[in-house]
Amino acid sequence: MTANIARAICFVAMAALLSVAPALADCGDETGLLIKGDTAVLHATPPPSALEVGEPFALTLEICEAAAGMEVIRLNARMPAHGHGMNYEPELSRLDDGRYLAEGMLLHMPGEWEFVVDVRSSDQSERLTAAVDLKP
Amino acid sequence: MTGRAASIALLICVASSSFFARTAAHANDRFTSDERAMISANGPWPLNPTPDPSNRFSGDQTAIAFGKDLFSDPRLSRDENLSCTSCHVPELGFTDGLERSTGIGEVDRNAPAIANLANFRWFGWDGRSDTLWGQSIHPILNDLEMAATAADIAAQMAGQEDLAARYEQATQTNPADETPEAILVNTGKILAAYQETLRTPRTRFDDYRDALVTGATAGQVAYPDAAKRGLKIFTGKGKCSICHFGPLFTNGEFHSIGIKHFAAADRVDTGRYGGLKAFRESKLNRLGPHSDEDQALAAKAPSAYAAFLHSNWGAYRVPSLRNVGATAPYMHDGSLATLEDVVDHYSDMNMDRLHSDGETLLRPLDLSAQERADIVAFLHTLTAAPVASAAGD
Repeated sequence: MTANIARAICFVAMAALLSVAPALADCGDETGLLIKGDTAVLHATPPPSALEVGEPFALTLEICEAAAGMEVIRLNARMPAHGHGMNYEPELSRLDDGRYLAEGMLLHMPGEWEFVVDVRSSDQSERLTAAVDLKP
Repeated sequence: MTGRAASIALLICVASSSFFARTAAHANDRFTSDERAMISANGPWPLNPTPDPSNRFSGDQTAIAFGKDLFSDPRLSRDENLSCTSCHVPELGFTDGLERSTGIGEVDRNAPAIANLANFRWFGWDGRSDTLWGQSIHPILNDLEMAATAADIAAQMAGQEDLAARYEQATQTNPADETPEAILVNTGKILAAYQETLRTPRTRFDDYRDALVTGATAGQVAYPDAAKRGLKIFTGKGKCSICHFGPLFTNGEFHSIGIKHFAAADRVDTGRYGGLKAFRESKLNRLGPHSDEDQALAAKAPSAYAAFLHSNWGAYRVPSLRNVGATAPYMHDGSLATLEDVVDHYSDMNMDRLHSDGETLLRPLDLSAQERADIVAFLHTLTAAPVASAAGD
């Protein structure tokens, strides 16, 4: 009885995973960071594991899934537990291939950061967040 | 027991007591994995300094030798009685030992130690410059410091035979053919070329850190127990290493830590806000007309993205802790006389003085007397021999 319930749970979980896999597979490098919201799913590279404390970097964002006309309008990072963000204001631009590039990023402390991405279309907007654990 | 048996027993006792003593000492090295990661990030030392792309004299031996002599040359001051060494005394860790430095008049800030600067992103307590040569020009022109003008410096470089010859040797240009502004900028770059060579040596901490990373037991045992306890607080519950991060023991950024903002009863020191404002208005930065750097690359440097924030008010650059035992007094205004005072400040922090939009991590540490002494013991292991020029004499 218990084993059957476990199998059923596994089946449902696998089905749920497989149902989203095809859309996310279009996002390229699987080692990047997925930033998920109700209206969009974004893929960010480089992955958090490649980031270093105090080293400047540029973040590339790719829209995996999104409501029609949805665009990325702003990206920033903050440390919720510290009550502050970066000391730098990144510049966001849209590349020819449709991806977005945020330049001027710099995480100046080790610890729990959060990427904050604002997306917007003509009739809706959302703030997406994704946790980034920046190791020393 | 025979005499021989007694000798063997004694030998075993001596050997085992030594073993247990070492084991006990080693047992103090019980850092969490997070603490070990933080300690590991404080090295290795020394760093490999990278040449400054904005300064064409960076790494140039002729410029470095000239810069070393200019650093102590009073002819760079208006009244020919002050030099860089007036406030950055080599024997005092390139500080002056005063709360606030005095040139022609008293300034609002403590003379920061100048070592390991080749690896810095911002210069000065308020980060008013993203170039060492730009920062080097500031005290030459400041009315309260050396109070010279570009015309004064040009007159010295062109009019003094020894200076003119060495200037031409270093820059390949005759000072008589250059504008005062160009001569002033080159003077700053030559001074910077020398200062880049000033580096702190390896310390007892560096030996311990390397031993901890490699697992070398002897190196771990040699480090004082008090310093180990202090280091554990520094990287653990004290959270000091979050800002005093990396091989330089600074993240190079700006924070308000509750030191008073009033430089005088009627005057506020705005800290990073004023520094960033001065930076934006200055021509002596990486994106300015005097920079030797590829401008496309300079436009991607962090300083090009520096943001004005509410928290800039009263924030100051996190100082490096390398050589910290030799650079008292402490803080931007020199208001804390000793390392003990600094630890007391963090232990008994006055929350009313903290910026409402600042670092919420800061809380009174409420350390015991033993813990305070341990942190100080640790900090002293970051100091070794005097700062020396890597370029030699």
